[in-house]
Amino acid sequence: MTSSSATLGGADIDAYWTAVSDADEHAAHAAADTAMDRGAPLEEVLHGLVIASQQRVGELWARNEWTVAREHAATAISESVVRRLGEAVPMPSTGPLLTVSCVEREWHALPAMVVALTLRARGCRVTYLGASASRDHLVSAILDTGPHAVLLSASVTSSLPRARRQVEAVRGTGTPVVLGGRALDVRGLRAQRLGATAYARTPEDALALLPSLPVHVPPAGPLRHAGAVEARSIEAESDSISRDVVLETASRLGSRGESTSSDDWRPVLSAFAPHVVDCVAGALLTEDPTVYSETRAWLTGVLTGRGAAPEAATVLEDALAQRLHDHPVAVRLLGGS
Amino acid sequence: MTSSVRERHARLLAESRTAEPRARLAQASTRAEFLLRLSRTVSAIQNPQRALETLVSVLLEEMVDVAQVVVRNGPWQLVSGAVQDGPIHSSSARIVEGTPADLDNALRRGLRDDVVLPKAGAARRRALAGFLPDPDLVDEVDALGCEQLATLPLNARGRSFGVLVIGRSPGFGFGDAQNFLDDLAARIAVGLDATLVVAESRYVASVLRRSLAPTDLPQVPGLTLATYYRVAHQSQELGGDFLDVHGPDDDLILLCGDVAGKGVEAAVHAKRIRNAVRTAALVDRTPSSILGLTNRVLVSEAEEFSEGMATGVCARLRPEGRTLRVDLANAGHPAALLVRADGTVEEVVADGVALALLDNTTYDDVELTLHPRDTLLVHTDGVTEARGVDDLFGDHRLRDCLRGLGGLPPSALIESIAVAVSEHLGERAHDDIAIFAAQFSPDPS
Repeated sequence: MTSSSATLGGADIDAYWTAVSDADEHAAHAAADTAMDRGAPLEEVLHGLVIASQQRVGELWARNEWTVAREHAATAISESVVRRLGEAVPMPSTGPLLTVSCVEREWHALPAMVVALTLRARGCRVTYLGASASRDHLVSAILDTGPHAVLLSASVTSSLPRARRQVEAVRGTGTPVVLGGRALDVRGLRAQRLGATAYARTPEDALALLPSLPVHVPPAGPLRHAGAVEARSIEAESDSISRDVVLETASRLGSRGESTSSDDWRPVLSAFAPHVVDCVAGALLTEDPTVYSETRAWLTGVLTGRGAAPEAATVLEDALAQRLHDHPVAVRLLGGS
Repeated sequence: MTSSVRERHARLLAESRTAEPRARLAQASTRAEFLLRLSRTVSAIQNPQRALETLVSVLLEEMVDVAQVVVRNGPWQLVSGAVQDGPIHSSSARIVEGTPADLDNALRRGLRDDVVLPKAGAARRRALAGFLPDPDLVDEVDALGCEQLATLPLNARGRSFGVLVIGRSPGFGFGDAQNFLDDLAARIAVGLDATLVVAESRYVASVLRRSLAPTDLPQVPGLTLATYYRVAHQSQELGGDFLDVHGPDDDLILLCGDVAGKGVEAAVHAKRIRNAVRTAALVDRTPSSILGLTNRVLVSEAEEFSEGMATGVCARLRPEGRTLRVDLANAGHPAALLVRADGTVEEVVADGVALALLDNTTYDDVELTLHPRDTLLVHTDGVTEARGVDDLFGDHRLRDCLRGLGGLPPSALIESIAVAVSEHLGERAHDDIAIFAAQFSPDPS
């Protein structure tokens, strides 16, 4: 980044971060306004302040340095900053008609908000559906507005199975669907295997590929490979799988009389077991074992950061493999990481 | 144009009268397969403008070099058209005097026609402009050298509601394909007619939906409002929950309610209750009085509605210096909650009978004082009655969830509840969910 006064500087970043970490909404708005008033481009403010600080927030939560409440407060402030910045960006009256949405039960709304605002600033007519848009809601919006394409955001890998269902829903309306977000790999393989029309890493990429999108797409054909069949069966009983695995993991860890285990990691284990199950399904659907191994590494950090035994993630993995013994592709995935 | 496009066009439109029987049979089967595929593609897309664009793009890929579809729906005229390898020109506008005369005639007559275009000059452009409302498309068709246009009426349910205009590049016409073109127009008409009917009913639903929850919340200095509104999956996108906020900045009325039933009837009923509350608020802004008057209106009209019962919380918000005064009355609705800045959760006890049940029901006001960063939260029973693996979400989970959220912005508070409810629900269907949060956070000045 150059030192030109019209770009974002370290002082802006520090001011914004201080505001967000103090949960000071007024100061966060002021920091964003200061950068904008000096002439920093909207996209730089969005990425350099909002997205960058949000990544830091996520890391601090994962390391157990921030509580969930603090994370939520910081997120709400950044969302309010993006909304406020958006008030200064009028909706164009012509330009490509797009729908931007988060995958169902994907609650990380900020990336999609930033994409929606960036594309609007670049002359697209964007309908933004918010966090966790259900398939019905998404299809309704498509039928009502008739977008040229739907851009779907998936931030966490446990959203991948639902991303697939959303892709099916969108393609059922003949509309091209572009997947983006941190749950996808930058080469776009996962997006391709989920049946997306295209993958976009950034709003700029999405904008660049719009002209090449077809006017209409055929419905997504069923995924027939062995992993996809297992993924469907795992998704169908994910509630009971998660519950069994949590009980088994807790009892194995508890029965060893772990003195170090505070109560901290148990609720996290219960809360995240369904996500791990969804990640396994996502890895199977995309035929990409790194979907699971990335999540495993992340969860290991989260659990041990909250006082769980170092082998907690391994125990969880064993319990899961045992529970899924009649799913050979899943068992191979769990054993091979 | 690629040679494969040229081949595809030839397969559907080559002269077959003189061809040998096997070739004619092959063409008949190609045509039948194409019509089936076209019907499927068009009927999958239930948005009218998108359906027109898709139709144009399929026709250009498979059959012709110029395609334009025009349909009329109520006072609206939708047009999409393009030439081979050109951009699709689309417009949606009110039917006005400006519609080209020939196109207008074709729409009124509902008969197919072949139009031989003049070779060049102003006459040619005039002829083209008679059928193609978009001037860019006129230029493109002119440049293509197209010699004739076929206009095919789109007729369904005894009326002509649109026209398909097609053309081919120089040297190609439609020869003996008349019956095929009639079939084509008939298939397209049935598909587009269904799409227009769906669009019409969706439009009605969207008008009603807009009256169930405010799209824009008032911007009041020092007061932060947030809402969450999700309709149950099975309810045709019209639920029975409703939210409203109205009044001057320093004296707002908040309403969160739930009528029995779903669908159009529920939405209309919810709209009536909102209107009754707004009217009552003009008479007396005390929530107990508003609900009392609303109840009398509903009871007096009750026999017209089989499912008139409704619950609701009505709150009046008035800033008083560094605090916010809240008066609140409750008609059979889940209790409002007060989340103090420190995370203490208080239930706002205000009991009253549901609306539209009994004549002469009276309600009581509860007076509350919100200090900076205290949040008033009103929700419908879709939150607490969200069904999980073993049990309902319940009041205890809601309170547990809120305890850690004291002082957070209302949007964060609401989203945390929404996440917790969603995790609890998993893949199970939910009822309508509506949440209203108001926080008083005056500027630190």
